[in-house]
Amino acid sequence: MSTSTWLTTEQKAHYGRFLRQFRRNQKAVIGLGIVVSLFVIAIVTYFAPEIVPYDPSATDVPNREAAPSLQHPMGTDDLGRDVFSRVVLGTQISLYVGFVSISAAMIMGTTIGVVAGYYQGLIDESLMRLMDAMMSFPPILLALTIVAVMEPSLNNVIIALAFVYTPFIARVARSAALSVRNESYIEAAVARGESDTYIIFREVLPNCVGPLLVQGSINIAFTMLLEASLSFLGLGVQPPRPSWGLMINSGWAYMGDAPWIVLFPAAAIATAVIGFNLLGDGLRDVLDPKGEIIE
Amino acid sequence: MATPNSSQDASLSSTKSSRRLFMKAAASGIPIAFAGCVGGDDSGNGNGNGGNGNGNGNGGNGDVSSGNGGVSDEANALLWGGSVPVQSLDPHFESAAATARVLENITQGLLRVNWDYELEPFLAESWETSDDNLEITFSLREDVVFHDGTEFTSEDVIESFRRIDEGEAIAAGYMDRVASMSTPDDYTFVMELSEPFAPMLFRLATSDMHILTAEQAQQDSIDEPIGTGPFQFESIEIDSEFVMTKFDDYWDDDLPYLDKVTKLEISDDDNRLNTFQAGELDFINDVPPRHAEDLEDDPDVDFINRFPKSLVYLGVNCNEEPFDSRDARLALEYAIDKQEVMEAALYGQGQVATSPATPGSQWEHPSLEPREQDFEKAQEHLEAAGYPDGFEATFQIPEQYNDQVTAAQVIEASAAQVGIELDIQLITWSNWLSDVYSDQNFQATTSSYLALWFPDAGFHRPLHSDGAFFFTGWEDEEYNELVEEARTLYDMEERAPLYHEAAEMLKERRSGHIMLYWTPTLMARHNGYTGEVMSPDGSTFRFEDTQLE
Repeated sequence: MSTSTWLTTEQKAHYGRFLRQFRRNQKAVIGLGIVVSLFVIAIVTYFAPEIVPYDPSATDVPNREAAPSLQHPMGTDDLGRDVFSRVVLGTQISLYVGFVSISAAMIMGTTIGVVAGYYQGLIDESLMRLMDAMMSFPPILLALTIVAVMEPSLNNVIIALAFVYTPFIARVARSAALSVRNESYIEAAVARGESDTYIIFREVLPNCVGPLLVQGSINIAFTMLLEASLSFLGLGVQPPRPSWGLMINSGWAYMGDAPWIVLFPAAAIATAVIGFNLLGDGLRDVLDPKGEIIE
Repeated sequence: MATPNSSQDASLSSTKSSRRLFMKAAASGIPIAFAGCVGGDDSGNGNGNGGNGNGNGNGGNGDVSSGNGGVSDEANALLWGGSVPVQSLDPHFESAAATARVLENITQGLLRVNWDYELEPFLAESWETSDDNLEITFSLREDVVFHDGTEFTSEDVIESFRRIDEGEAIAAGYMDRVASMSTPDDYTFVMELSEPFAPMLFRLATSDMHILTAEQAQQDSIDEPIGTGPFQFESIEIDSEFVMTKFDDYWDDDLPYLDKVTKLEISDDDNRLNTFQAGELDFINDVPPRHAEDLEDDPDVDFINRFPKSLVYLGVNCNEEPFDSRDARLALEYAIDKQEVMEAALYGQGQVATSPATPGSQWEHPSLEPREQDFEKAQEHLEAAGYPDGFEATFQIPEQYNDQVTAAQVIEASAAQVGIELDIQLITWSNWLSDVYSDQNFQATTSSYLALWFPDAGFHRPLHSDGAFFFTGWEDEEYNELVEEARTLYDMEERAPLYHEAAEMLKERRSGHIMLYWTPTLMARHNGYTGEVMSPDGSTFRFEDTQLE
C-alpha cells in the first residue's frame, strides 16, 4: 500500500476494524457528536470571545432576573448578566478543567499503574496500597480537602481533581499491564535482552491504551461534574468567571422566581456529562467487549 | 474564655486575645462546613464552627414543625426564626452579635439607648457627671431583683465591672480608663475616670458591660447568665434552638407581655422565609432584601424595616502596592458606581454611604456627598499613581455575606472598565479573620461593621491606628488626634463638628475604607403582634414590648 508509510497493513486493518465497530455503535457516535460540538464551542469562543452576544461579566442591575426573551435567550441572572453568554463561555472552563486534570491523572496514573503491574512484588504492593488509601476517601471529600488546604482557584481545582482520579487510572493501568506482562511477546522481548524502558514503552504501554482510553473518557465526565460541585460549594472557580457549577451556586436562591438562572447551566452540565459518558460507554463496547474495565 | 468557635458578626468586637483564641479554634476545625455557607446571609453565619455543619440549613432545622407543633400551640409564646445561631451566653466575653441579640433581653446595663438615640437611665435611676467630667455617680434602682431572687445592689455592679477589667473581657479597654470604683452605699455607684472619656457612657449601654450577680461575676465562664432582664434563660441547644421565658418578678410590673420566646436557628435565608410563610414561625429576622417588596405587600405580614444596621465598606491595604498610593485608591473609588452596587446587593433597601457616621445621627456630616462614578477621573488618578494601564489586585470576599459577594462582582465589572483587574477570591469567615484582618495579608476586601449608636464605633474602632478593628494600614496623625480630641468632649454639639471634619478628612485623603452602603435590618412577623422589637441602635432585639393582640 502506498498511501501511508507509517502504518503497516496489519495496523491498518486493526484501525479499520475499530472505526467500523465504532461507527456501528450508536451510543459512541452520539457521544462523540456532543463532545465534538462542545470542543468546537470552546475553541471558537476561546479565539473569538466576542462571538457571544454579551460580555459575560458585564452587570446590568436594572435588568436583572429577566425571563428568557429574544435579547436574552436564556434570560439574565441576579446581576443582569446574560445567562446564554455565560453558559456558552462556561464550556471552556468545564472542558479545560476536565481535560487538563484528566490528562494529568492519566500521566500519573499510567506511570504508577504500569510500573506496579510490570515490576510486581514490593513496588506493586506499596504503590497500589497507596492508591487504595486514596481511593478509600470519597472523591468529593478528598477534592474538598485538597482545595481547602491550598486555596480555591481554578488551577488548584485541577490539581485536586488530578490527584483524586489518579488511583482510578492507576488501577486500570496496572490490571492491563499485568495481563500484558504474561504475553509471549513480552517474554520474547526479555529474551532478546531489551531494556525495561523499551519493554514498558514499546510493548506494554501500547497494549494498555484501549482500557485507559475508556477509563479516561468516563472519568472526564466525573471530573467535570466534580468541578461543578466544587464551584457550587464555593471552592472552585471564583466569580465572576462563568463556571456552570458556580452559576448554579449563585442562582439556586432564585429558583422560585428565576429558574432559568439555574436550569440552563444545569442542562449544560448534564449534556456534557452525558456526552462523555456515552462516548466512554461506546468506546468500552468497542475496545473491551469482555468488560474488564472497572469504573 | 471567649467562646472561640462563635460565629461573629463582622462587627466583631473582640479583643486581641479573644480573637486569637477564635482563630485557633477555627483553624483546628477542618474547613469542610463550607457547604452551608452558600446560603449564608449578611449577618455573619461564621464557618469557624468547625465540623458542625449547621449551615446546610436543613439538618438542624428539620424539626421546626414537629418539635413545636406549629405556631399557636402555646398562647403567648413567640417562635422566632433566627439567622445566626446563639453560641455562648457570656455577656462580657462573647463577641458574636447573635449572642448580644438574646442577651439584651436577659441581662441589663446601667443605661441604655432610647429611640431618640440618647442615653436613658435603666438599672441606674439617674447619673451625674462631675464638672471635670472625671467622676460619674450612678443612683441605682432599688426595686430590682435578679433571676435567682437576689436583690440588685451596687456590689453587683462593681463585681461585674471588675470581672470585665481583670478577666480582659471585650470592654476591658474601656475599663483601663477607670481610675477607681467605689460603692458609698447599696444603691450608689461611683466611677472615677483617669481622663475625660465620652464613649464610656455609651459603652455602658451595651451587653459587653451588662450587670451580673456578684456571685456569678466571680466565675471565669458563664453558661447560664443570671440577669435582671424581663426574660430569663431557659435552655439552649447549640445550632438548634434557644429558649427564654418570662421573669415574673421583673422590676417593670407591666412587662414583658410574652411568656416565652423560642429562637429556632435557621441559617439559610430562603429556608427561614419559607418556613415563616408556611406559618410555622411567628417572627423572622434577616429577610433576604429581594423579598422585601413581596412581604411589604402581604396583608398578613407585618414587615419591619429598621435602618441602619451595619455599614459595608471596601477595604484596601494601604501598606502595600498598589493601594499604598492615594491616587490608586481614588482611581478605584471613581471606578465604582455605589448606587448600582447598593441596588445590586440590597435591591434598593439600603443607602449609599459617605462616611462612617450613622445616617441621621448628629455627627453625620450635613452636606458631604459620596464620590460619583467618573471613569475620566479614575484614569487621571491611575496615571498619577503610575499605573496608566491599570493594575491587578486580589479581592478577598467573605463568602457567607451574600450582599458582599454580589457587590464585589459589580465592583469587579466596573473596575475592569478602567483597567483595574480585581481578582475575586471567596474566602471563609475564619480565613477572613486570620488572613485579612489579623495578618493584613490582602490587597482589597469587603467587610462590614454594626452601625451602633455612638460615634466611636465608626470613627475610632476601624479607622484610628489604635482602634480595635484597625487593619487597613491607613495611618494619619491629624485624623488620629482629631478623633482622640472628640472622645474627651461630652457635649454632642461640641463634639459633632470634629466628626464632620474627620469625615471630610477620610474622604479627601481617601482612607483605607471606601464606604459602600448602609444595610437595614429586615424582619417580618405575622399580623397580630405589636410592639417594637428592634433596639434603637439596630444591633439587638428587645422582646419586652412585643405582644399578641
